[in-house]
Amino acid sequence: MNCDRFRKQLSEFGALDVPGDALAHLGTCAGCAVAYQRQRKLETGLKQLAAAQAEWSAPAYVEAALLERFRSESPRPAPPAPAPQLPFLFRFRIPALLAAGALAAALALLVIARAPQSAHIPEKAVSQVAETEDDSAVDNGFIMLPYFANSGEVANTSEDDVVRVVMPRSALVSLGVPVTDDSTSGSVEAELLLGQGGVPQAVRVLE
Amino acid sequence: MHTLRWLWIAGFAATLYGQEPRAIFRNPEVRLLGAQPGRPREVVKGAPYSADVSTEINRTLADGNKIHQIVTERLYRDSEGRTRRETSLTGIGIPAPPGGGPELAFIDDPVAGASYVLDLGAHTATRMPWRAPKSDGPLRRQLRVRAQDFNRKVESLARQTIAGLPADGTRITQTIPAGQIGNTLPIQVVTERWYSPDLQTVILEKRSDPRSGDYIYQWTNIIRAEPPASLFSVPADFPLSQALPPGGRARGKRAQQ
Repeated sequence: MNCDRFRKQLSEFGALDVPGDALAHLGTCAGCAVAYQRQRKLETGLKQLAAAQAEWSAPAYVEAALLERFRSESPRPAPPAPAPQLPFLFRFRIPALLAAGALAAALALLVIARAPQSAHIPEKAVSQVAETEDDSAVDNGFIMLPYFANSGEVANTSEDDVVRVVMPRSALVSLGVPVTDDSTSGSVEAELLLGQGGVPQAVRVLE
Repeated sequence: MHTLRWLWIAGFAATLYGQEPRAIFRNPEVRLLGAQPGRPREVVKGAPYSADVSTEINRTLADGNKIHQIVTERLYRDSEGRTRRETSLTGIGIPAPPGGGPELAFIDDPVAGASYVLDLGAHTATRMPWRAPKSDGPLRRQLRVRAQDFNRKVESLARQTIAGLPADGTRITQTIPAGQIGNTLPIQVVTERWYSPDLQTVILEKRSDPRSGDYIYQWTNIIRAEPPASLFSVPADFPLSQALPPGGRARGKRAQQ
Protein backbone atom coordinates (compact mmCIF):
# COMPACT_ATOMS: atom_id res chain seq x y z
CA MET A 1 0.00 0.00 0.00
CA ASN A 2 1.24 3.46 -0.82
CA CYS A 3 0.56 6.80 0.89
CA ASP A 4 -2.09 7.84 -1.60
CA ARG A 5 -4.14 4.70 -1.13
CA PHE A 6 -3.66 4.77 2.62
CA ARG A 7 -4.95 8.36 2.88
CA LYS A 8 -7.97 7.52 0.72
CA GLN A 9 -8.93 4.62 2.98
CA LEU A 10 -7.96 6.35 6.22
CA SER A 11 -11.48 7.29 7.25
CA GLU A 12 -12.60 3.67 6.98
CA PHE A 13 -10.11 2.34 9.50
CA GLY A 14 -11.31 1.69 13.04
CA ALA A 15 -9.07 1.96 16.08
CA LEU A 16 -8.05 -1.65 15.94
CA ASP A 17 -9.27 -2.76 12.55
CA VAL A 18 -6.46 -1.59 10.33
CA PRO A 19 -5.99 -4.07 7.48
CA GLY A 20 -2.69 -5.88 7.30
CA ASP A 21 -1.36 -4.03 4.28
CA ALA A 22 -2.25 -0.67 5.82
CA LEU A 23 -0.61 -1.72 9.07
CA ALA A 24 2.51 -2.64 7.16
CA HIS A 25 2.47 0.77 5.52
CA LEU A 26 2.09 2.44 8.92
CA GLY A 27 5.28 0.72 9.94
CA THR A 28 7.22 2.39 7.18
CA CYS A 29 5.65 5.83 6.89
CA ALA A 30 5.75 8.27 9.80
CA GLY A 31 3.60 10.77 7.89
CA CYS A 32 0.75 8.33 7.51
CA ALA A 33 1.17 7.22 11.12
CA VAL A 34 0.63 10.82 12.22
CA ALA A 35 -2.33 11.15 9.85
CA TYR A 36 -3.82 7.99 11.32
CA GLN A 37 -3.47 9.35 14.84
CA ARG A 38 -5.15 12.61 13.81
CA GLN A 39 -7.98 10.73 12.18
CA ARG A 40 -8.59 8.72 15.33
CA LYS A 41 -8.56 11.91 17.40
CA LEU A 42 -11.01 13.57 15.04
CA GLU A 43 -13.38 10.62 15.15
CA THR A 44 -13.30 10.54 18.93
CA GLY A 45 -13.94 14.27 19.09
CA LEU A 46 -16.90 14.01 16.73
CA LYS A 47 -18.35 11.17 18.78
CA GLN A 48 -18.05 13.27 21.92
CA LEU A 49 -19.74 16.17 20.19
CA ALA A 50 -22.57 13.98 18.99
CA ALA A 51 -23.01 12.48 22.45
CA ALA A 52 -23.08 15.90 24.05
CA GLN A 53 -25.66 17.30 21.66
CA ALA A 54 -27.84 14.22 21.39
CA GLU A 55 -30.43 15.57 23.79
CA TRP A 56 -30.34 19.20 22.76
CA SER A 57 -33.38 20.57 21.00
CA ALA A 58 -35.16 23.87 20.73
CA PRO A 59 -38.27 24.18 22.90
CA ALA A 60 -41.52 23.65 21.00
CA TYR A 61 -42.64 27.23 21.57
CA VAL A 62 -39.65 28.56 19.65
CA GLU A 63 -40.59 26.60 16.53
CA ALA A 64 -44.25 27.65 16.88
CA ALA A 65 -43.31 31.30 17.31
CA LEU A 66 -41.01 31.24 14.30
CA LEU A 67 -43.65 29.62 12.10
CA GLU A 68 -46.22 32.17 13.20
CA ARG A 69 -43.81 34.98 12.48
CA PHE A 70 -43.01 33.68 9.00
CA ARG A 71 -46.72 33.24 8.25
CA SER A 72 -47.51 36.77 9.33
CA GLU A 73 -44.66 38.19 7.28
CA SER A 74 -45.12 36.07 4.16
CA PRO A 75 -46.52 37.79 1.02
CA ARG A 76 -50.28 37.76 0.39
CA PRO A 77 -51.53 36.03 -2.81
CA ALA A 78 -51.04 38.34 -5.73
CA PRO A 79 -54.15 39.89 -7.36
CA PRO A 80 -55.03 38.67 -10.83
CA ALA A 81 -54.35 42.07 -12.34
CA PRO A 82 -50.81 43.20 -12.87
CA ALA A 83 -49.42 44.42 -9.61
CA PRO A 84 -49.24 48.14 -9.26
CA GLN A 85 -45.80 49.60 -9.17
CA LEU A 86 -44.79 49.95 -5.54
CA PRO A 87 -42.72 52.78 -4.26
CA PHE A 88 -39.01 51.99 -4.11
CA LEU A 89 -38.87 51.49 -0.31
CA PHE A 90 -41.86 49.09 -0.27
CA ARG A 91 -40.32 46.96 -3.01
CA PHE A 92 -37.78 45.61 -0.50
CA ARG A 93 -40.12 45.34 2.48
CA ILE A 94 -40.98 41.62 2.19
CA PRO A 95 -37.45 40.33 1.54
CA ALA A 96 -36.26 42.52 4.37
CA LEU A 97 -38.84 41.09 6.76
CA LEU A 98 -37.95 37.54 5.72
CA ALA A 99 -34.29 38.25 6.32
CA ALA A 100 -35.12 39.75 9.71
CA GLY A 101 -37.16 36.69 10.59
CA ALA A 102 -34.34 34.35 9.62
CA LEU A 103 -31.91 36.43 11.65
CA ALA A 104 -34.21 36.27 14.66
CA ALA A 105 -34.47 32.50 14.28
CA ALA A 106 -30.71 32.15 14.09
CA LEU A 107 -30.27 34.33 17.17
CA ALA A 108 -32.88 32.32 19.07
CA LEU A 109 -31.16 29.04 18.23
CA LEU A 110 -27.80 30.51 19.17
CA VAL A 111 -29.10 31.57 22.56
CA ILE A 112 -30.61 28.14 23.12
CA ALA A 113 -27.42 26.41 22.09
CA ARG A 114 -25.37 28.54 24.51
CA ALA A 115 -27.74 28.42 27.42
CA PRO A 116 -27.92 24.65 27.96
CA GLN A 117 -24.48 24.54 29.55
CA SER A 118 -26.16 25.63 32.73
CA ALA A 119 -29.85 25.26 32.24
CA HIS A 120 -31.13 23.19 29.33
CA ILE A 121 -28.93 20.10 29.21
CA PRO A 122 -30.52 17.32 31.19
CA GLU A 123 -28.44 15.93 34.05
CA LYS A 124 -27.95 12.71 32.14
CA ALA A 125 -26.32 14.54 29.25
CA VAL A 126 -23.93 16.32 31.59
CA SER A 127 -22.80 13.06 33.13
CA GLN A 128 -22.37 11.54 29.69
CA VAL A 129 -20.11 14.39 28.70
CA ALA A 130 -18.10 14.07 31.89
CA GLU A 131 -17.63 10.36 31.35
CA THR A 132 -16.63 10.89 27.76
CA GLU A 133 -14.17 13.61 28.67
CA ASP A 134 -12.70 11.39 31.30
CA ASP A 135 -12.21 8.53 28.90
CA SER A 136 -10.81 10.74 26.23
CA ALA A 137 -7.93 11.68 28.46
CA VAL A 138 -6.79 8.11 28.41
CA ASP A 139 -7.91 6.83 25.04
CA ASN A 140 -7.56 9.59 22.52
CA GLY A 141 -4.83 9.06 20.04
CA PHE A 142 -3.22 6.11 21.77
CA ILE A 143 -1.76 3.39 19.63
CA MET A 144 -1.76 -0.05 21.10
CA LEU A 145 1.74 -1.48 21.36
CA PRO A 146 2.20 -4.62 19.31
CA TYR A 147 2.30 -7.11 22.16
CA PHE A 148 -1.02 -6.00 23.58
CA ALA A 149 -2.60 -5.30 20.22
CA ASN A 150 -1.99 -8.94 19.41
CA SER A 151 -3.18 -10.32 22.70
CA GLY A 152 -6.82 -9.65 21.94
CA GLU A 153 -7.64 -9.39 25.61
CA VAL A 154 -6.27 -7.62 28.65
CA ALA A 155 -6.78 -8.67 32.21
CA ASN A 156 -9.38 -6.70 34.08
CA THR A 157 -6.95 -5.66 36.77
CA SER A 158 -5.25 -3.03 34.65
CA GLU A 159 -5.03 0.42 36.09
CA ASP A 160 -4.60 2.74 33.11
CA ASP A 161 -2.02 4.98 34.75
CA VAL A 162 -0.42 7.35 32.28
CA VAL A 163 3.15 8.64 32.37
CA ARG A 164 4.48 11.37 30.15
CA VAL A 165 8.11 11.30 29.12
CA VAL A 166 10.51 12.89 26.71
CA MET A 167 12.46 10.14 25.03
CA PRO A 168 14.71 9.69 22.03
CA ARG A 169 12.60 9.14 18.97
CA SER A 170 14.63 6.00 18.39
CA ALA A 171 13.27 4.60 21.67
CA LEU A 172 9.87 4.42 20.02
CA VAL A 173 11.26 1.70 17.80
CA SER A 174 11.97 -0.49 20.82
CA LEU A 175 8.36 -0.07 21.88
CA GLY A 176 7.21 -1.25 18.48
CA VAL A 177 5.97 2.12 17.27
CA PRO A 178 6.42 2.59 13.53
CA VAL A 179 9.20 5.11 12.89
CA THR A 180 10.84 5.70 9.55
CA ASP A 181 14.59 5.70 9.20
CA ASP A 182 14.76 9.38 8.43
CA SER A 183 12.86 10.44 11.53
CA THR A 184 14.65 8.55 14.29
CA SER A 185 16.83 11.44 15.39
CA GLY A 186 15.91 13.89 18.11
CA SER A 187 13.53 13.54 21.00
CA VAL A 188 9.82 13.08 21.19
CA GLU A 189 7.28 13.75 23.91
CA ALA A 190 5.00 10.81 24.49
CA GLU A 191 2.48 9.43 26.91
CA LEU A 192 2.50 5.80 27.85
CA LEU A 193 -0.55 3.97 29.12
CA LEU A 194 0.61 1.56 31.79
CA GLY A 195 -1.41 -1.54 32.34
CA GLN A 196 -1.18 -4.48 34.64
CA GLY A 197 2.25 -4.79 36.20
CA GLY A 198 3.38 -1.39 34.94
CA VAL A 199 3.89 -2.67 31.41
CA PRO A 200 3.22 -0.09 28.70
CA GLN A 201 0.13 -1.03 26.72
CA ALA A 202 -0.28 1.94 24.43
CA VAL A 203 1.61 5.05 23.44
CA ARG A 204 0.54 8.48 22.28
CA VAL A 205 3.13 10.65 20.57
CA LEU A 206 2.36 14.26 21.40
CA GLU A 207 4.11 15.99 18.55
CA MET B 1 -18.61 20.72 26.27
CA HIS B 2 -15.58 22.40 24.79
CA THR B 3 -15.10 24.31 28.01
CA LEU B 4 -15.09 21.09 29.98
CA ARG B 5 -12.78 19.51 27.51
CA TRP B 6 -10.24 22.30 27.59
CA LEU B 7 -10.41 22.55 31.37
CA TRP B 8 -9.63 18.84 31.54
CA ILE B 9 -6.78 19.17 29.09
CA ALA B 10 -5.46 22.14 31.03
CA GLY B 11 -5.78 20.19 34.24
CA PHE B 12 -3.96 17.22 32.84
CA ALA B 13 -1.24 19.47 31.51
CA ALA B 14 -0.95 21.16 34.89
CA THR B 15 -0.59 17.75 36.47
CA LEU B 16 2.09 16.72 34.08
CA TYR B 17 3.98 19.96 34.06
CA GLY B 18 3.62 20.77 37.72
CA GLN B 19 7.18 19.73 38.29
CA GLU B 20 10.52 20.06 36.60
CA PRO B 21 11.28 17.34 34.09
CA ARG B 22 14.02 15.07 35.29
CA ALA B 23 16.05 12.30 33.79
CA ILE B 24 15.04 8.78 34.65
CA PHE B 25 16.92 5.50 34.40
CA ARG B 26 20.13 7.54 34.57
CA ASN B 27 19.61 8.08 30.90
CA PRO B 28 19.79 11.81 30.26
CA GLU B 29 17.85 11.36 27.05
CA VAL B 30 14.74 10.09 28.80
CA ARG B 31 12.99 12.53 31.10
CA LEU B 32 9.91 12.02 33.17
CA LEU B 33 7.46 14.90 32.80
CA GLY B 34 4.76 13.61 35.06
CA ALA B 35 2.10 11.02 35.55
CA GLN B 36 -1.64 10.68 35.74
CA PRO B 37 -3.23 8.03 37.94
CA GLY B 38 -5.83 5.84 36.31
CA ARG B 39 -9.27 5.24 37.67
CA PRO B 40 -9.23 2.39 40.21
CA ARG B 41 -10.87 -0.79 39.02
CA GLU B 42 -12.57 -1.44 42.34
CA VAL B 43 -12.36 -0.70 46.04
CA VAL B 44 -11.83 -3.75 48.24
CA LYS B 45 -12.09 -3.34 52.00
CA GLY B 46 -11.03 -5.76 54.71
CA ALA B 47 -8.34 -7.54 52.68
CA PRO B 48 -5.03 -5.79 53.29
CA TYR B 49 -1.79 -6.97 51.74
CA SER B 50 1.71 -6.11 50.61
CA ALA B 51 3.14 -7.92 47.62
CA ASP B 52 5.80 -7.89 44.95
CA VAL B 53 4.58 -8.23 41.41
CA SER B 54 6.64 -9.15 38.41
CA THR B 55 5.62 -9.09 34.80
CA GLU B 56 7.81 -11.19 32.57
CA ILE B 57 7.71 -11.18 28.81
CA ASN B 58 9.58 -13.70 26.67
CA ARG B 59 9.60 -13.60 22.92
CA THR B 60 11.51 -15.61 20.38
CA LEU B 61 11.93 -13.90 17.07
CA ALA B 62 11.93 -15.55 13.67
CA ASP B 63 15.70 -15.35 13.43
CA GLY B 64 16.15 -17.08 16.79
CA ASN B 65 16.81 -13.87 18.65
CA LYS B 66 15.13 -13.62 22.04
CA ILE B 67 13.63 -10.79 24.07
CA HIS B 68 13.32 -11.16 27.82
CA GLN B 69 11.81 -8.35 29.89
CA ILE B 70 10.87 -8.18 33.55
CA VAL B 71 8.97 -5.29 35.10
CA THR B 72 8.57 -5.28 38.86
CA GLU B 73 6.18 -3.43 41.11
CA ARG B 74 5.32 -3.28 44.78
CA LEU B 75 1.65 -3.21 45.75
CA TYR B 76 -0.06 -2.35 49.02
CA ARG B 77 -3.66 -2.21 50.17
CA ASP B 78 -5.02 -1.40 53.61
CA SER B 79 -8.25 -2.49 55.25
CA GLU B 80 -10.05 0.65 54.16
CA GLY B 81 -9.34 0.01 50.50
CA ARG B 82 -6.51 2.50 50.08
CA THR B 83 -3.92 1.27 47.60
CA ARG B 84 -0.34 2.13 46.74
CA ARG B 85 1.46 0.98 43.63
CA GLU B 86 5.19 1.56 43.26
CA THR B 87 6.56 1.12 39.77
CA SER B 88 10.00 1.36 38.27
CA LEU B 89 8.85 2.17 34.74
CA THR B 90 11.37 -0.24 33.31
CA GLY B 91 8.65 -1.50 31.01
CA ILE B 92 9.35 1.43 28.76
CA GLY B 93 12.21 -0.67 27.49
CA ILE B 94 15.15 1.11 29.04
CA PRO B 95 16.98 -0.82 31.75
CA ALA B 96 16.80 0.54 35.26
CA PRO B 97 20.00 1.64 36.92
CA PRO B 98 21.73 -0.93 39.09
CA GLY B 99 20.10 -0.88 42.49
CA GLY B 100 17.51 1.58 41.28
CA GLY B 101 14.26 1.62 43.19
CA PRO B 102 10.80 2.53 42.04
CA GLU B 103 10.39 5.81 40.23
CA LEU B 104 6.72 6.50 40.88
CA ALA B 105 4.08 5.64 43.43
CA PHE B 106 0.38 5.86 42.67
CA ILE B 107 -1.80 6.19 45.77
CA ASP B 108 -5.58 5.86 45.73
CA ASP B 109 -7.35 6.96 48.87
CA PRO B 110 -11.11 6.47 48.56
CA VAL B 111 -11.54 7.41 52.20
CA ALA B 112 -10.05 10.88 51.79
CA GLY B 113 -11.32 11.13 48.22
CA ALA B 114 -7.90 11.76 46.72
CA SER B 115 -5.36 10.19 44.42
CA TYR B 116 -1.68 11.02 44.48
CA VAL B 117 1.28 10.50 42.23
CA LEU B 118 4.58 10.55 44.10
CA ASP B 119 7.73 11.13 42.10
CA LEU B 120 10.06 9.22 44.37
CA GLY B 121 13.18 10.52 42.64
CA ALA B 122 12.31 14.19 42.56
CA HIS B 123 10.42 14.09 45.88
CA THR B 124 7.33 15.78 44.57
CA ALA B 125 3.67 14.85 44.72
CA THR B 126 0.58 15.65 42.73
CA ARG B 127 -2.92 15.39 44.11
CA MET B 128 -6.07 14.67 42.16
CA PRO B 129 -9.62 14.07 43.29
CA TRP B 130 -10.31 10.39 43.67
CA ARG B 131 -12.46 8.90 40.95
CA ALA B 132 -14.86 6.10 41.67
CA PRO B 133 -14.38 2.78 39.88
CA LYS B 134 -16.22 2.35 36.64
CA SER B 135 -16.52 -0.11 33.85
CA ASP B 136 -14.07 -0.31 31.01
CA GLY B 137 -13.36 2.77 28.92
CA PRO B 138 -13.69 2.86 25.14
CA LEU B 139 -10.22 1.47 24.52
CA ARG B 140 -10.84 -1.60 26.62
CA ARG B 141 -14.36 -1.99 25.27
CA GLN B 142 -12.84 -2.12 21.80
CA LEU B 143 -10.38 -4.74 22.96
CA ARG B 144 -13.17 -6.77 24.50
CA VAL B 145 -15.22 -6.65 21.33
CA ARG B 146 -12.18 -7.65 19.35
CA ALA B 147 -11.57 -10.56 21.69
CA GLN B 148 -15.11 -11.76 21.08
CA ASP B 149 -14.35 -11.96 17.39
CA PHE B 150 -12.15 -14.95 18.03
CA ASN B 151 -13.40 -18.41 18.80
CA ARG B 152 -13.21 -18.44 22.55
CA LYS B 153 -13.28 -21.31 25.00
CA VAL B 154 -13.36 -20.73 28.76
CA GLU B 155 -12.54 -23.48 31.26
CA SER B 156 -12.52 -23.43 35.04
CA LEU B 157 -9.43 -24.93 36.63
CA ALA B 158 -9.30 -26.70 39.98
CA ARG B 159 -8.37 -24.51 42.93
CA GLN B 160 -4.63 -24.35 43.62
CA THR B 161 -2.38 -22.71 46.14
CA ILE B 162 -0.55 -19.85 44.50
CA ALA B 163 2.01 -17.87 46.48
CA GLY B 164 0.57 -19.35 49.65
CA LEU B 165 -3.02 -18.42 48.88
CA PRO B 166 -5.87 -20.48 47.47
CA ALA B 167 -6.68 -19.35 43.96
CA ASP B 168 -9.32 -20.25 41.40
CA GLY B 169 -8.13 -20.71 37.86
CA THR B 170 -9.63 -19.93 34.50
CA ARG B 171 -8.16 -20.86 31.16
CA ILE B 172 -9.26 -18.94 28.10
CA THR B 173 -8.31 -20.30 24.73
CA GLN B 174 -8.87 -18.07 21.74
CA THR B 175 -8.44 -19.52 18.30
CA ILE B 176 -7.89 -17.44 15.23
CA PRO B 177 -9.02 -19.64 12.35
CA ALA B 178 -6.71 -20.18 9.44
CA GLY B 179 -6.97 -17.39 6.90
CA GLN B 180 -8.63 -14.86 9.20
CA ILE B 181 -5.57 -12.64 9.34
CA GLY B 182 -3.69 -14.22 6.50
CA ASN B 183 -2.46 -17.09 8.67
CA THR B 184 -2.00 -20.45 6.99
CA LEU B 185 -2.69 -22.39 10.20
CA PRO B 186 -4.98 -21.65 13.17
CA ILE B 187 -3.40 -19.55 15.92
CA GLN B 188 -4.14 -20.28 19.55
CA VAL B 189 -3.82 -17.69 22.28
CA VAL B 190 -4.03 -19.25 25.73
CA THR B 191 -4.54 -17.22 28.88
CA GLU B 192 -4.51 -18.80 32.33
CA ARG B 193 -5.69 -16.58 35.15
CA TRP B 194 -5.64 -17.33 38.89
CA TYR B 195 -7.89 -15.30 41.13
CA SER B 196 -7.48 -15.10 44.89
CA PRO B 197 -10.86 -14.95 46.66
CA ASP B 198 -9.08 -13.81 49.81
CA LEU B 199 -7.47 -10.79 48.19
CA GLN B 200 -10.16 -10.44 45.52
CA THR B 201 -7.65 -9.97 42.76
CA VAL B 202 -5.73 -11.88 40.10
CA ILE B 203 -2.40 -13.03 41.53
CA LEU B 204 -1.10 -15.04 38.60
CA GLU B 205 -1.69 -14.76 34.90
CA LYS B 206 0.07 -16.55 32.08
CA ARG B 207 -0.54 -15.84 28.46
CA SER B 208 0.92 -17.53 25.45
CA ASP B 209 0.54 -16.06 22.00
CA PRO B 210 2.69 -17.42 19.19
CA ARG B 211 2.73 -13.97 17.62
CA SER B 212 4.06 -12.11 20.60
CA GLY B 213 5.50 -14.65 23.01
CA ASP B 214 4.80 -15.57 26.59
CA TYR B 215 3.65 -13.25 29.33
CA ILE B 216 3.66 -14.03 33.05
CA TYR B 217 2.17 -11.70 35.67
CA GLN B 218 2.95 -13.04 39.10
CA TRP B 219 2.54 -11.99 42.72
CA THR B 220 5.14 -13.07 45.27
CA ASN B 221 6.06 -12.25 48.87
CA ILE B 222 2.43 -11.68 49.76
CA ILE B 223 1.99 -10.45 53.31
CA ARG B 224 -1.56 -10.29 54.58
CA ALA B 225 -1.06 -7.69 57.24
CA GLU B 226 -1.98 -4.03 57.52
CA PRO B 227 0.68 -1.98 55.72
CA PRO B 228 2.00 1.13 57.51
CA ALA B 229 -0.47 3.99 57.23
CA SER B 230 2.34 6.30 56.14
CA LEU B 231 2.46 4.50 52.79
CA PHE B 232 -0.93 5.95 51.88
CA SER B 233 -0.12 9.57 52.57
CA VAL B 234 2.22 12.10 51.04
CA PRO B 235 5.57 12.39 52.85
CA ALA B 236 6.07 15.69 54.60
CA ASP B 237 9.07 16.60 52.47
CA PHE B 238 7.20 16.14 49.18
CA PRO B 239 5.85 19.48 47.90
CA LEU B 240 2.28 18.87 46.85
CA SER B 241 0.87 20.16 43.59
CA GLN B 242 -2.85 20.38 43.23
CA ALA B 243 -3.99 18.89 39.96
CA LEU B 244 -7.30 19.59 38.33
CA PRO B 245 -10.08 17.04 38.11
CA PRO B 246 -11.36 16.01 34.71
CA GLY B 247 -13.59 18.85 33.64
CA GLY B 248 -12.96 20.55 36.95
CA ARG B 249 -12.03 24.08 37.87
CA ALA B 250 -8.73 25.52 38.89
CA ARG B 251 -8.20 25.81 42.59
CA GLY B 252 -4.73 27.34 42.66
CA LYS B 253 -1.39 26.15 41.46
CA ARG B 254 -0.12 24.82 44.74
CA ALA B 255 -1.91 23.41 47.72
CA GLN B 256 -0.78 22.48 51.14
CA GLN B 257 -1.29 18.96 52.28
